[in-house]
Amino acid sequence: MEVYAWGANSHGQLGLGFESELCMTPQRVARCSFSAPLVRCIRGGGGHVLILDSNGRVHACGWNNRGQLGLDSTEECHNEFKMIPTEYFGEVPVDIISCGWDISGAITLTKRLYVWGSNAFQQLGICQRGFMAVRRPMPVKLPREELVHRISFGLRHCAVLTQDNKIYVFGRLRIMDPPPIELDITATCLHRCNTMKIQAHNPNELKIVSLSSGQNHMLLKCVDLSEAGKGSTKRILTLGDNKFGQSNAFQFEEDVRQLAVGWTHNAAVLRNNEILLWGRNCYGQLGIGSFSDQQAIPSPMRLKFSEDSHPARIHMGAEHGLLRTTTGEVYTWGWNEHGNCGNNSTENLCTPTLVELPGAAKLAGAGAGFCYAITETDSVN
Amino acid sequence: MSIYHDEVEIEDFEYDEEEEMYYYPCPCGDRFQISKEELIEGEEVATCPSCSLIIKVIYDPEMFKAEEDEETALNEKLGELKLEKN
Repeated sequence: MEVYAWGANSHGQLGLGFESELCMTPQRVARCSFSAPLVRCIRGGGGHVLILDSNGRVHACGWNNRGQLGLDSTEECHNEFKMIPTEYFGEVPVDIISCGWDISGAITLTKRLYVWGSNAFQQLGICQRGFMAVRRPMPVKLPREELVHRISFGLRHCAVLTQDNKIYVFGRLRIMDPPPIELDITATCLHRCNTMKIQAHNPNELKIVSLSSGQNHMLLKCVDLSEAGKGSTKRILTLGDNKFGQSNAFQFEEDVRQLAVGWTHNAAVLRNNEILLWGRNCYGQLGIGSFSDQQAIPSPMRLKFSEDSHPARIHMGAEHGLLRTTTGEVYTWGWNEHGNCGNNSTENLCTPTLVELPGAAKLAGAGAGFCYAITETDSVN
Repeated sequence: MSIYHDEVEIEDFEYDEEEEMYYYPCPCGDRFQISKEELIEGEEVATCPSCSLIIKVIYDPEMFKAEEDEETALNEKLGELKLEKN
């Protein structure tokens, strides 16, 4: 198996051993600190990337101006992957990774949370003068020492979903409109840091099971526990900035399988394999066939791609998108100035376009302006 | 033709005191930037060194001007003090 990366590389985030403005076609990442067949998850931030392997080890590459690589290094960039020492996680394997603009997080197998990177907006949950950045993973103690289920970063916030279905938000997430009535939002304090606590108003009827953050908004996947709902996940709730309709909430016809969120646009993959997108569409980031400068699509539109393929996973960059199908094809669309879409062009794409890769993709990921894919090697050669 | 990627209030920028530069994240992974000097001169477009996107900075140029005048006055006073000392 081989690792490929394309798009913006201003901070060496493609792991190619050099920094460059752009790579318009998939480039093979030759030197890695991990073994490609063992990669479980790829997550991208503004200019950095984290890779999780099946041994629970985390590998990091790219921009490090705020210590977001977690390597305890003061280098501005690392253009090749390095492994974050396991001792930083108390020798416990990592289960889940997440990246924000200049911040990173991990949840261990024991459901403990670690964060590192920028604290400029107290998004690490530390309120102390001089604590602008943390350069190695730091354990986070929640108010009631809750175990952590999921984590998601926006531009300046960190949202933590606990195993008892509460959300804590550190940093800055402005909620302008009145929040959904299904949620109770309270201000609380963590280590003298202002923290927002979000809970279902009626936990017997609604359970928050997953969360996904955009630049200044957040989507929540919920299980409807009411008698009528029968445990369905058709509903999503939203919070935050709604300038482009990105915080419009919906009840879908089918259960939501996956949510993927860009800076100001969203995708929901439904159980029937339908992909629906809504939000900002100024660079073609919705992939619906057209775009215009001031365009925003306030209600979900269907993404059309090859008729015989089914979606495996969607990944969102800041203003572009990547779809991996169950048969290993990779489609991209949206903003393409840095070759974000990997199709040897810098023209924006308004429909999902097949990326030419040397083999079927087993896994993929995206950061703000770049993409990663892990492909099967052609056994004939 | 210039169409802004976004309009951002100056309070939402991160300020680097050493460089006297204001920064805001750009979707390409780099940062939009505008210097304090440019703001004082009334410039309202922040650019990204890595790509073509630009944003409009929402701020009150008068405030920056006032701040600078204050600084100049302060420096003059300090200068006078030093002179007196000598």
